[in-house]
Amino acid sequence: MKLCISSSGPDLDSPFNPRFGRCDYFVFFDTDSGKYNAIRNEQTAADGAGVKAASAVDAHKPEIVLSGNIGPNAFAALQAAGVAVFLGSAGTVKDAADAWQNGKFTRADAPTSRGHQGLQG
Amino acid sequence: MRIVVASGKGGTGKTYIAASLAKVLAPVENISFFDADVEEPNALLFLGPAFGKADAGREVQAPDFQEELSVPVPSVNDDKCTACGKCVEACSFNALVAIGGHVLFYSHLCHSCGACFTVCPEGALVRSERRIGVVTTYRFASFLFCEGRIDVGEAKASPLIEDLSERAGGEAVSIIDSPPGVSCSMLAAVKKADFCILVSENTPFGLHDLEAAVEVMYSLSLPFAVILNKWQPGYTAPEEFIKKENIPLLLKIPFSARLAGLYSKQLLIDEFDESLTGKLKEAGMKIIAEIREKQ
Repeated sequence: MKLCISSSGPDLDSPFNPRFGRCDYFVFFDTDSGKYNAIRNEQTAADGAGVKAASAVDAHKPEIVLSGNIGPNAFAALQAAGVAVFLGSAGTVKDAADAWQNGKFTRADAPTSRGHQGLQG
Repeated sequence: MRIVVASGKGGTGKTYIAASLAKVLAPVENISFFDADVEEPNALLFLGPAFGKADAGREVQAPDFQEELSVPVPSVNDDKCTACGKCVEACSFNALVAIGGHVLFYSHLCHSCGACFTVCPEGALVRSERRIGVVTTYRFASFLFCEGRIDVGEAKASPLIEDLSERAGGEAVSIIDSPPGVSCSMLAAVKKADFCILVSENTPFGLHDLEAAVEVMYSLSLPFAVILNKWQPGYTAPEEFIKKENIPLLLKIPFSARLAGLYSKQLLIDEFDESLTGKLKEAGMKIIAEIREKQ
């Protein structure tokens, strides 16, 4: 299973970042092989960060996104791409993957914020 | 002609002075008033009583026209769209995304630039519209009043303000009440001005935001002058700044409890005293004459 985890750094022991649209990195983690790779979340846009992030994530074809909060724009885009979104909290990227495997993340059926929340901090 | 009253800082008395100027000039000029402070258009609270009472039966305000203002936005025809992504590349605002074999459109991110229509090779983008606000017009006996009101939650006010600015062009003397600040909304209001009046208050806060507003005037090469409102002796920095920059100071309006009392009763400067009324009228006439000389 290929997971995409919102992160503050490019590694498995980087801090899990609870903001989807405005996190720093996305770490893609294959639960079968244990292999991972990361992309930087290019935040050039004042508006539409979530849309751009969802599009960049989808290009790597994960089956599941793990994050803490997701806005309406990104959620709609990931839904259209058929990517399931699970939300929860964790210390590191690896912790998030483990927590998800232990059923500690919750599947989102709606966005958690009205957008722009990531800009607050 | 367009005379725009702007401020930078909110709460300087911009609307009060714009409305007062309209009232004192109305007997001698063909005046129209455009309330372009579209997030909080409230000049009618002053000008409705001031002019409505002159028209029999117009104390209860009913507008003469009300028009919805919409901006063009694309809608995706899924039968024609191949999700090639050309529109996504062309969009500077991330309002379009190609994902899961479809193009999704986010209306509230769209700036209506039209680039997506131009680049779509399939003709899959259909022009549709999104309402952003309402333009309301009142025709008083001697006076045209027009206000823009942006819809709640609508982020981009510029198209509505530009629409009002277009209406304000022409022979009549149009007084335009600008939104505060120095962002896109204010620039949309001032950019076609024949003259700008910057209203500042005589405080460090007023001066701070006046400097920003003056920078806008310089960058757009607009002729302008300053009115210092709520003026009292003791703090001289705003006047020193105005003098240093060689900006005409049209008027100093005193910090006065009686004036604040008039304001709270929707009464304008002409109720204060003849001297101030005369100076305001004279300043307005001078600006109009200056604009006519150039035209």
